[in-house]
Amino acid sequence: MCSPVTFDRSKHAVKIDIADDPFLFDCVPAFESDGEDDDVLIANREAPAAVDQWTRSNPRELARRITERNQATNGRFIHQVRMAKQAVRELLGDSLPSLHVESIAYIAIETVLEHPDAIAKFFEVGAELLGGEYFEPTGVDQISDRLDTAIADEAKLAFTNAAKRAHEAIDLAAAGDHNEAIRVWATMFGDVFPPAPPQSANSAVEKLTRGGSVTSAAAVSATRAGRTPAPTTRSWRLA
Amino acid sequence: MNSAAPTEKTWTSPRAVIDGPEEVVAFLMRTDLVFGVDRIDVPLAEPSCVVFWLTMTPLPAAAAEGYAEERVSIAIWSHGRIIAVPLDSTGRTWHHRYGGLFKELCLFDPADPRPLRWNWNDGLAAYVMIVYKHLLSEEYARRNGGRWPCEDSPHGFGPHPIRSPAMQTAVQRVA
Repeated sequence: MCSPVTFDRSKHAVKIDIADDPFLFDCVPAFESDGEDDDVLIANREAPAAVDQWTRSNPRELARRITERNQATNGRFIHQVRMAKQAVRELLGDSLPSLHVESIAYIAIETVLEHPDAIAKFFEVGAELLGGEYFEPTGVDQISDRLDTAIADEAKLAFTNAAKRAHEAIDLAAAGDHNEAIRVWATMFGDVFPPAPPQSANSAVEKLTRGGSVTSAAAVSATRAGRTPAPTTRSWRLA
Repeated sequence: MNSAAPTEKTWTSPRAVIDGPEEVVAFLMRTDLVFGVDRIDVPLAEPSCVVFWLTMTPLPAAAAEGYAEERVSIAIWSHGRIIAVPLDSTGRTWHHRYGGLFKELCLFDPADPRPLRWNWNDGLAAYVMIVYKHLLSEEYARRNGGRWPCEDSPHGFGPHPIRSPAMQTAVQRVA
């Protein structure tokens, strides 16, 4: 039996939502342009004048830039953009359009980086860019102008917090606490990320009182790398 | 004191705390330097003394096993004295608590090396974390036959050598 399909129209595309499938598809009708480049003309349903109803777009140039960046990062860039999209969806739902995620990733991830470092840098750079000015990867369109201010403000705050959590997870792993690093990453990526083993009350209290720290996932690491390290003291009384 | 590196105003003066209890409440409710503070009331604010009533939620792992929310009163005098007294404490055993007028918690050994003791230079947030840790420890002891979750200091005066690696590390971390 076929899944039910919902169609909707956006500014440039027919949006296709297949139930039971996590992906949305944008179907964009386009004609070849008559210039020397390989741009296309795409429909613009919101054009103020009839002459603007077919707008120039450069998807092939965008694809070339992404391919080059992916090669420059030994094939990691595409995977890291997918990770970034998953984390952003978890943090902000669908409010930040995916071209903004891709553009921020393109600016942030220029060289070969380990996945944790790439995600941390993505959020760090995004926190700086959001609310300011930035272009999509081809450098033609300053897409930051098209982002609603309220969404940019919300995203900037979420990115700032996410950058802190990403660095916390990296620090936890570097300190040897991979379970708590995983638990922090899971708060960013949601259920698609492997869960960390559960922590018992005894284990949490013992770790906290023996010089540990509380992480942003509200669990306790035996290391000092969590967000809130606890002072270490020895309780005592007169007699 | 081996607390978090202060990244913002951490309230290191009793005078400042007494002069601005509302700011203190706002700080403690938002800072990453403490965990578990759910609510703060200020039942007394006078030029010589301020009292905060903190409602603290247990760590999620502890809450899942039935650790309850704790309420504790933190009183601060202008000359610098500070004490933490658990509210709703009747009918529960307390392993490390003084027996005087206030029956305050014994949060650290005053004879311990500086890294294992709190003073105002460490800031109020570090004190609140010590209180939080202590309340969890008391409940841990109730559930584990009186066993304290980390090395504590023997009761009374006399030599109290530091025995456990965790405490030795804490001393070395700052020394």
